[in-house]
Amino acid sequence: MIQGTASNVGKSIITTALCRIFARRGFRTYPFKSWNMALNSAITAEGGEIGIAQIIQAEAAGVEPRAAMQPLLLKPNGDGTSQIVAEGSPVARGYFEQESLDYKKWAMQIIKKSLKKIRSEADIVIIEGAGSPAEVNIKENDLANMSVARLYNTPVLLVADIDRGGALASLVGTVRLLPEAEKNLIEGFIINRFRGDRALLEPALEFLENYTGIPVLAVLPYIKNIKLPEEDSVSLDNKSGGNKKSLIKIAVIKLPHISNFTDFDSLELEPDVELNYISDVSELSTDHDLLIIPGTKQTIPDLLFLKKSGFEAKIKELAKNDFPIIGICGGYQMMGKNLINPHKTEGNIKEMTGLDILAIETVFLPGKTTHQVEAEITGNGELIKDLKGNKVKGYEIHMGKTVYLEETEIPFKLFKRSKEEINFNDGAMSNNGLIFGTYLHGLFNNDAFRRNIINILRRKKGLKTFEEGPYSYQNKIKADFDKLADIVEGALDIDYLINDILKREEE
Amino acid sequence: MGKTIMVQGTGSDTGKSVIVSALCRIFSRLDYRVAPFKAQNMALNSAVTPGGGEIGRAQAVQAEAAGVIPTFDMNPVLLKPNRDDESQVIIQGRPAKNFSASSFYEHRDEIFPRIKESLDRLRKEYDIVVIEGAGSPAEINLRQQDMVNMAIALYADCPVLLVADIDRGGVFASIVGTLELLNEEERQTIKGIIINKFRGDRKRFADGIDFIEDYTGKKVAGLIPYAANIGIPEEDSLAFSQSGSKQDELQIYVIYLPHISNFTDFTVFTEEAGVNLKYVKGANELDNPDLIIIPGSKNTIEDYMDIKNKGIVRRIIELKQQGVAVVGICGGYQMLGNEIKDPDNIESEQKEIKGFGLLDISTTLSKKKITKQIKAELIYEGDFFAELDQTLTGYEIHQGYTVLSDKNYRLFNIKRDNVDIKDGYISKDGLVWGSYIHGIFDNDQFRHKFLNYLRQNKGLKALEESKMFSIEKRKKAYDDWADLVLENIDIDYIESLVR
Repeated sequence: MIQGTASNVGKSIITTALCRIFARRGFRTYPFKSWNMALNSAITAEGGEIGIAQIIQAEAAGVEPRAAMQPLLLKPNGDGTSQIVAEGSPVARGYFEQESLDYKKWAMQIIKKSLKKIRSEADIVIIEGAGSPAEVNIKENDLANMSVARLYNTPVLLVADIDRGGALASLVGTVRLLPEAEKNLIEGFIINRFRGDRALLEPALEFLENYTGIPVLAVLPYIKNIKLPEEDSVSLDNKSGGNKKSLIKIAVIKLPHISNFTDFDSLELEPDVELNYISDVSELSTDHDLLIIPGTKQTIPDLLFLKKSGFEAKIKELAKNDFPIIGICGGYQMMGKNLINPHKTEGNIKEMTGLDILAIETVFLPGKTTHQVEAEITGNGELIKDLKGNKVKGYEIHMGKTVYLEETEIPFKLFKRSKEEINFNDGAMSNNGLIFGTYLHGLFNNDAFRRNIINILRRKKGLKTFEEGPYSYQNKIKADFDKLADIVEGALDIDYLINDILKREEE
Repeated sequence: MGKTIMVQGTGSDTGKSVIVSALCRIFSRLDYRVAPFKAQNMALNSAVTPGGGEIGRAQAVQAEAAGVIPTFDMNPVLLKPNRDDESQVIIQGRPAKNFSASSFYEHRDEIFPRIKESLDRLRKEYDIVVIEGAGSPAEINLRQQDMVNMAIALYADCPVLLVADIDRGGVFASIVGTLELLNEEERQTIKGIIINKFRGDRKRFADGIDFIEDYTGKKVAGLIPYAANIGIPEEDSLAFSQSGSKQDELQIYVIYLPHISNFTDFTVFTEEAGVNLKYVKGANELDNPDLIIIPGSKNTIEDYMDIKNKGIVRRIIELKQQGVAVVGICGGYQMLGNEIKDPDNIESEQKEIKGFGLLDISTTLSKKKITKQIKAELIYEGDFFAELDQTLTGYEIHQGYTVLSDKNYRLFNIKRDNVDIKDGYISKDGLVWGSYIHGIFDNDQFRHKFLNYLRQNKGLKALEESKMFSIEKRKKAYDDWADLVLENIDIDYIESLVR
């Protein structure tokens, strides 16, 4: 198990690396994170919703993601409450007072059941913790760190980020604050994000080992240039244009409750695209080529944000002037005429007019649709017609049902949903073919589809179509997994992990 | 001797610097004469003191919050990252020999006495010195070379407040671990703990505070809420994240030179409505600016060659021909001229390079470094300059002098050590000008008139100057931040510690 001295010390990426390393050595490796709070989720083949990090880790391990790998997911609503997703499916809102005894008992049962299942299928399970295990004020509510490690007395590696300073103190302090039984589970330290003179660090490592009796198993370098999808919008604050030949500029509205913005990671990796997350209408400039309205945890409150912030008027004006706009999921719902919220599942407002740039209407219902899907491109509009008849893959996560108010160009036809053959319409397109919305998350991860849209934007601008074919998002990610695994393998004695540490767990 | 109090942190970026600013403001409002002090600072951004010394920008900001004039004693050692591995070392305001980052500490025996001398001097001149530490005091492998944390606290026999950041998690461990790794004498200096960046329900954290106080025996002297944007200038290059979020009617592009320095010259633009400030690195990003600024540089010749090779120079000249205004400050000003001569090879192997040729001036680099706060009178009377009635203030930091050709196009008269020196030059068409004066845009009236001139060039209506940003607002930001901190710390306790 990988635990950290704090948030954002690199637990996820180290777990991803270990998944890759063990998989390369022929072990059937599963990631596991009992409890997760994240805005970005994705869907497993069985239709279960889990945090994106475990999807990525499963991908790194070369195994199919499973709901049991991440049995409890909290999706913050932005108002202090969270939606609870258990074993891949949402639990009715208000079902539990979080932190109540019942909640903890219920949650631990789910965690135990899931971990048991995962262990029975895998050779090695790499468990990731959350935050710090030494939060004494909330220790009894722990669902992600030592409570999980203690289930099987799993050996723990504790990660500290040395780049921000105070790493030694945080390791010593963490060990000090743990009860003996938990402290004994810590088999080693990992110092992450080290840059500088290794010789200066050696005395500190020696001290740490002597003082705590726990060995430092690895010092990992500060890893740059590996971009794996991230869980939280904190990471959005660090994103900026970059300095490539960004001929095509795409703006994504940073909605207050934005979710699933990993949808756009693949766009950002295109050599000729600059992606900007904007939260103010004035940041939308004349040299943008496409506006994207992303998914959200709270469609109606975020629509209200668009109305109050001046985005609504701007979007309507852009739509009139043949500016390309794409809406995904919640963004798609907002583009319609009306949004109806009879059960108040989306805030307290019962009905709201939408941006009115697509002839659709959405009714929010308590049930949640979560599926991996496959679809055929059916529309004739400019943005997609070149690929008519081609297939795309993606996933749906939404509450709400959308109906067409008049005859509308349908961009996609779903033919497979969670492995079941179906035949449903998805999305809507404007008459000029430059505006469409869809429920399909992950749409831009379809290489040909993504590249085609960008080429159309290039043509509109009078630029030549990009000569190279699409880069493969999947290959790019796989190459990053291997690069990452190589770095970690170079610093951590994997044989020792396999032959010694992994054997310390009680069966 | 003046009293002292020190703020240390459990790690970098826990908020030490802004808490020192707040304490400076709070004590100064209580009628103490307050000085900030940080023994050693690593920062790209420096500011110049009236005495001519270069110090870290953060200490200049803290001095501003304290309402006192900055002196080099407030930050006696400043490391300015130069090329990849080298840092320029500024000691008591003046550049020392070029140490590399690793050999710097071998000179501790020379450097530390200078630090102590500066602190002693401040204590003689001020009622309270608020001292800031750096990083964590518990890096036991670096203890021998420490000049900035416990070495200072013990030297000054100074009470220490330890700041921990709760937002990132692991706050208990970082506090307990820090105290545990200090030796007894050091541990004794810590008189209180401040928990910073707290979000959530304070009542529910009462148990957490009790735990810390029981376990460590130290008082929790503050629980400061997370404050996203407190309007106090940033120290490090990290501030370069993104452009502003206002109505971007005017596009100001600053060329992000590889050795860019003093970029706080332009941060004031980000406060102005209708202005979008953007840092650009490539010629293709220079699409549609209304003003291009070439900033100061730590290495003018290398940076000029760099932007020339990237096609930025050619693109700027092209844009200027289309009517776009171009301004150079300090190194950027030197670049705008006909040539830069480097007879002593201070900056590179080359003895002379040609510049933009947009201003009819010629610069020669020299070893003598000029660092001075200055007042400048306007002598040029064309364009928007004609409407100015303000004497400009700012500061100079440069190595080199510039010969200005036609006297009709000189901009300012600077009094330096009672000698009149002409600074700044403007092109005949009024589109291009440059100056050595850093901080020139911090002059409210000058900035307002210049922005309105750019607006009119673009066919936009001039804005009412009274509604534009004013530095006075910055002062209010200090007060608002001090108020927030004051509400959430035990100031009586902290005041009682100061000794």
